[in-house]
Amino acid sequence: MASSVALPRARATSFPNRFFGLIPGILLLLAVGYAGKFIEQSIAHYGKAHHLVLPNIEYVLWAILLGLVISNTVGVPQVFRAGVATYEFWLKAGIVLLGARFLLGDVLRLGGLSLVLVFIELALALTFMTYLGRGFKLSPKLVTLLAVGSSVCGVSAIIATQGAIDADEEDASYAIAAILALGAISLFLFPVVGHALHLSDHAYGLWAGLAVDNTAEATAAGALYSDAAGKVAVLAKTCRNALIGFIVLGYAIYWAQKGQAAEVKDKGAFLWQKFPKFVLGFLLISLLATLGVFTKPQLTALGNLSRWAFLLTFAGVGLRTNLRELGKQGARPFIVGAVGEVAIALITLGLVFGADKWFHL
Amino acid sequence: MSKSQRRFSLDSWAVVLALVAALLVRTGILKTVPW
Repeated sequence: MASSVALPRARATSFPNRFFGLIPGILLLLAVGYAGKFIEQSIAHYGKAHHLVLPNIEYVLWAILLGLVISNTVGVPQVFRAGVATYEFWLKAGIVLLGARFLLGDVLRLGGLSLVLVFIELALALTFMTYLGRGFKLSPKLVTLLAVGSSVCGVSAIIATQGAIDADEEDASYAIAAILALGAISLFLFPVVGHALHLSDHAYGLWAGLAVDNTAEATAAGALYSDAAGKVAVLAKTCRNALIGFIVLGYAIYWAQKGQAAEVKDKGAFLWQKFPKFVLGFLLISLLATLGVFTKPQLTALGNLSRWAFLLTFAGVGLRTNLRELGKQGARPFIVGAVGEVAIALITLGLVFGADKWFHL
Repeated sequence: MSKSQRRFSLDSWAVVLALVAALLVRTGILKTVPW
């Protein structure tokens, strides 16, 4: 699971201590997420009762904003931190359950298209970020971490790469801070740009999944646009995540050849260790749904369980983002990340427009 | 392979939790999930 600059993981000794230590934070995630849902419903009810046309602001945004307010005003007390850090666990469980809302044929069709676009995006983004980082004279390993973080899958990719290439803690911390800050900005900017360009749900979802770094932020950016866009964003992002092992392995071999990282002995085991297992879970549930294992009400129930898991995730995205902490990490990695993110957003937008023209998304 | 590598990752636990939830729904133990 991706750790966070803002919320270091709490250390407990025994299993019961660790388990019970998670409960306060998980309850906080639930409270913040549910408050977001409550605000959305209250505004809708008020508008209906008073015959007013009020903007429909999704619970996703309210949950993130409430989390941000708490994190950046009173802060998240120590007792909640371990539980709040489980938000990525809920994200992955939610993605697996979301598989029930996809027929395997759709997954293969849209996933196949996403994979092709992901390959192009990775090649262009990794090359661009590498030259950009060198131009700004960042340390070579920090450049690698920023390139992987912005082109593959954010914090998880940085942490996986840090271990594989023996990068400094400090470099990883810079890269994580830059990617988290940019992820928070993307989260709010992407829906605005998507609406301004009148992108369809599929086109926007594909764009968010290809361009937004962290899985949690990509999921939220998609869900902020529409339910359908959220589904497509998760699928496209999952395709990106599936390639993490190959990219990290490539960099590990590169740095090992330079004598600056340990040699990878068993490449198969390395790939399996880095492979995100929730991708397999997602495909399995999608296969079961396609085979008709679940009835329609059961599919609805699984979809709703997925929404509850995402609700905890979105609350966690806000709660773990401490803007002051992110601001302390230095300007140069942030500038490189920001320029890179804009370039990746434009490249992927071009890819999505191209795909839309050829495949009518 | 070290002990820490053999241990189930959090990623895998998320899959297990989701599959258990799906099983509960499939067997009718969890009939409706409100939203």
